[in-house]
Amino acid sequence: MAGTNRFSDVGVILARGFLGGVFVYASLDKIAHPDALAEIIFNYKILPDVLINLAAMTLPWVELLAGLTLISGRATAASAAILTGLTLAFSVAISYNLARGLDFHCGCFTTSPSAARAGWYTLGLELVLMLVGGICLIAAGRRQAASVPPSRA
Amino acid sequence: MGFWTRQALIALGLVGLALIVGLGVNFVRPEGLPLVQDWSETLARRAEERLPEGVAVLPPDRMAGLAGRADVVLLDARPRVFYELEHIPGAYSLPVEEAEGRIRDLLGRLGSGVRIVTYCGDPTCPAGRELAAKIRASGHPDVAVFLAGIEAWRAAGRPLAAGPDQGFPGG
Repeated sequence: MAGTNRFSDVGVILARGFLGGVFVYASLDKIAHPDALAEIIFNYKILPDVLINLAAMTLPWVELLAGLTLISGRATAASAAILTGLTLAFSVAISYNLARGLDFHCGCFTTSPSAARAGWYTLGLELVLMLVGGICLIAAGRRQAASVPPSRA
Repeated sequence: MGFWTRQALIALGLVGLALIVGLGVNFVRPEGLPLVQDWSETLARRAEERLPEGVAVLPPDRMAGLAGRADVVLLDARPRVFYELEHIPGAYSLPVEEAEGRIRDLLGRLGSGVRIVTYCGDPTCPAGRELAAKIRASGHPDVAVFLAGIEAWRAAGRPLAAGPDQGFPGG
């Protein structure tokens, strides 16, 4: 069974590296272009005007810090929960706007106006990221449970 | 303190740190954003700045006089479902994502003396502008966009039509 555990440990490390890396990469262009990100957030037509600029200033830093924390292997449950929560929020927002036929940019990895419009494939990507986030979160919980002495279990 | 409580506090701490860093970076940035901004007004201004060369802007007062004229073709650039719910009377549906395949068909039915006017929902919606740009790039000389869109038309109390598209003129 040790071999299986080692295999799943490597899988979890890869999952953490993948999810963290995706969010770190996704945050960089948004940090560089907050004005373009704010415009994209406005075009989602979900947040009230008073929260749009605050979200554009803060959201990329949440992605960057949580992504780096997840990659580092420290506080993996906290960072995986944040990133899974973000993918859930993005999935709901994208689904809602696709369902009501809005023509909008995802803003997932780039703020460029020439990027492709959001589509159902964008939602598919978010769901894959959410699945990986869920795996990281469950793995963090199991690791914690396994480290608790039997008398406390 | 339990494991999950500690992780929840760390998560809150990360979000708080991101808030502080984000606000701090924005504060020292030369082109930092204001905390609150009227994005409808900002994007309406940007929409005019982003118009391609050769595409005119049609103000709402002139739009009312053009709708229904024989030498004007109105195109609704929104997804078809919105067109069917409501559109400016006399407009045809040409969602911008279908433009590539249908512009040639449309232009083949029109004389060069016809003015084409596109519109979308409101000034923040790029589809009307993009459709106008594509038609202009296809060689039609007289293209304009009603940037204020159907929201302004409705707000002015002008009549609206509903139902499926009947096909381009002459079809």
